Amino acid sequence: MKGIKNKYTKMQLREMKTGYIFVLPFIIGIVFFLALPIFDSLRISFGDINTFNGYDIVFKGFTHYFDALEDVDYIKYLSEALKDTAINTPLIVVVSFVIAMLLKKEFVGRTAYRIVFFLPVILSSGVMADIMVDTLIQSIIDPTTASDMAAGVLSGGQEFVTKLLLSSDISTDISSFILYAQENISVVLSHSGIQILIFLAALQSISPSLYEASAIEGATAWENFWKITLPMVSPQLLVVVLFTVIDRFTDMSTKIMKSIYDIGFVDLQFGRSSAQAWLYCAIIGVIVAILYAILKRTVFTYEER
Amino acid sequence: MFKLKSPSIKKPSKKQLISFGQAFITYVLLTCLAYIIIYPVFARLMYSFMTSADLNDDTVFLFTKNFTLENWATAWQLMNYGISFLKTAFLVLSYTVLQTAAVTFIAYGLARFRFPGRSLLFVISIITLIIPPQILSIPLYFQFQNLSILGLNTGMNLLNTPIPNALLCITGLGLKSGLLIFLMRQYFTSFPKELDEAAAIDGAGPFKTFFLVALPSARTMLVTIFLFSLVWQWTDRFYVSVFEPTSKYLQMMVTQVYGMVKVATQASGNVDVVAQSLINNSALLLFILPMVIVFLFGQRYFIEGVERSGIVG
Repeated sequence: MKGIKNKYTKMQLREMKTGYIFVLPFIIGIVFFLALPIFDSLRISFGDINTFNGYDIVFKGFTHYFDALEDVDYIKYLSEALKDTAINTPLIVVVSFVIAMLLKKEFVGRTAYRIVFFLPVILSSGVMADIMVDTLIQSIIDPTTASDMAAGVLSGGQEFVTKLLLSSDISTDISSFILYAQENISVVLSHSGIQILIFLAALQSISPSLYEASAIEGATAWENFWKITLPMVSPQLLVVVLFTVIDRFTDMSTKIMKSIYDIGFVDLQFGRSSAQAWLYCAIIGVIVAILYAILKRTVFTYEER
Repeated sequence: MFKLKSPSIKKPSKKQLISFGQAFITYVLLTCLAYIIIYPVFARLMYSFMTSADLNDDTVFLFTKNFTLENWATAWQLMNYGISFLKTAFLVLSYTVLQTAAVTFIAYGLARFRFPGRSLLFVISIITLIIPPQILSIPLYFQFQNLSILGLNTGMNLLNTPIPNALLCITGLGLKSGLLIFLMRQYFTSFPKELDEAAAIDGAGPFKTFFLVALPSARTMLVTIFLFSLVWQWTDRFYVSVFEPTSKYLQMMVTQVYGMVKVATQASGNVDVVAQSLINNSALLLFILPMVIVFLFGQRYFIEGVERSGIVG
C-alpha cells in the first residue's frame, strides 16, 4: 500500500478511483461475460460435453481442431469466407472512397444522396442480411419452374439482367460471371455505409489552406490527390480497412458463421462448434494483425494539429 | 463577315465547362450507384401490392394490374403484428437504453480518467469486435441456463427471459457494444478538458460534471449512439435466438413467417408458391418499416454523429 501511495499523488489516486467507478460495469462484464466464457469455450473446444444440462466435459485434446482441418464443409466455407473478404474488402474501400469524394462537394440534393448511401446500414444488418441473401440465393440456385422464376423476381434487380442474358447468345460462363458481378456490386454497396461516412468526415476535415498552397505552386488535381488527399486520410484508411475486414469476416450471414452456429445449437455438438469458432477467430486475428502491421507503416501523420 | 454569336451571349469559359462537366459526371455516377441500392427496396415495395397473377404476367413490370393489400393483411395477421410489435418495441427499447447508458458511462471513464489498465480495457473493447459471438454464445448459454455466481449454484434458469441480453448490455458487452464504446470514447477524448476544470473550480465532483456538463454537450452523440443501438438491436436475431429461442419477437417471427404461410395456405388448399413468397415479402417490409421511419427522421444524427465523433481527429 505504501508503495502505491508514494508513487501517486492524492489527486491522481482520486482520479484513478473515479475512473474505476466509471468502468466498473465493464470490468464486471469482462470477468463474467467475456473471460469466463472464453475460458469455458476453450475447455469445451478440447472435449465433448457429456450431459446436456451439466458441465461434464470429456477431454479429447486437439481432436476437434484436427477434425475441423479435415472437415470438407468447414474448409470450403472457410476458403469462401477468405475469398469473399479478399475480393470485397478492396472493392468496398475503393467504392466507398470514390462515393465519399463525390459527396464531398456541395451540390443540390447532397443530403438525399447521403441518406440513400447510408440506408443499407439498416437494410443489410442482422436478420435483414440473412433474408435478403437467402431469397437471392434460392432464386438463383433453383429457377426450375416458371413460378419459381417469378418468385425469384422478388430478389430484386436480378430479373431484368437474367432475362436479358437468357435471350442473348452469350455463353453461360460469361453470363454467370455478369450475374455474380451484378450481385456483388450490391453486396459491396450495401456494406459501404459506415465506410463512406468515415471517409466523408476525413475528407471534410482536410484544411483548404493545403490546397490553396498547392494551387499557388501550380499542382494539378492529380498531384493534389496523391500528395495531399490520400496522405491526409491515411489514418482513416487504416480504420476503414480493418473495420471492413472484421465486418466481412464476422458477418452473421456468411456460411461459416451459420455453420458454426448450426453445429452448436442445432446438432448440439458444442465441442466441435467451439473448436471451429476458435480456429476461425485465430485466422481472423492473424490476418488483422498482419494488415495492421503493414498499413501502420504507410499511415502519414501530420504533426501540426 | 458575319458574326456567329451576338456579343451579348457570353461564350462559357473553359473553367465553367469543366465544372459543369464535373457536376454532370457526379450526378450520373451517384444516381447510378443510388439506383443499385434503391431498386431492390422499391421493387419489393411494388411487389407487395401484387397478386401472383401479376408475377406470372410478362407484361407487368413493377406496376401492378390487380392492386391488392391482401399480402400486407395476411402478413400482419400471421405475425400478429400489433402485439408482436409492441412487445418487440418494448424489449428493444429497454436494451437500447441500457446499452446506450452503459456505453456512455464506460467510454467517459476510458476517455477522461487516467488509471492503470485503462489502455488494456480499451484494447479489450476492440477485441470484443473481432471475437465471433459464436465462441461466447455456447458457454454463455450454459452459464445462463444454470446460473452460478462465484461458484455458488443458484439453480436459476435465465434462458427465455430478457435478462441475459440485458446483463450483456449493462456491462458493455452487448451487440456491437465495442464499436459504440469506440465512437463515444473518441468523442469524449476530443472534449475540452478546460470544461472539467471549470466545473471542478465551481465545486462539482466528477459525477456532477459528467451529468451536468459532459452529457448535455454530448447530446447529438448520445442520440447517434442510441439510434445505432436501436437499429442493430432491432435487426439482431443471433442473441435473441440463443438466449430466447422460443420467444415471439418480430425478428424471430419474420423468418418463421415462411413456414406459417405454407401451413396456412396449404390448409386452405392453396399451394401457390408465388403467392406465398409475396406474403413473405410483405412480412419483411412490415418488419423493417419501423426502422426505416426511425432512420428517415434521425438520419441527421446517424451522419453527423460519425463526423463529430472525432474518429477523424
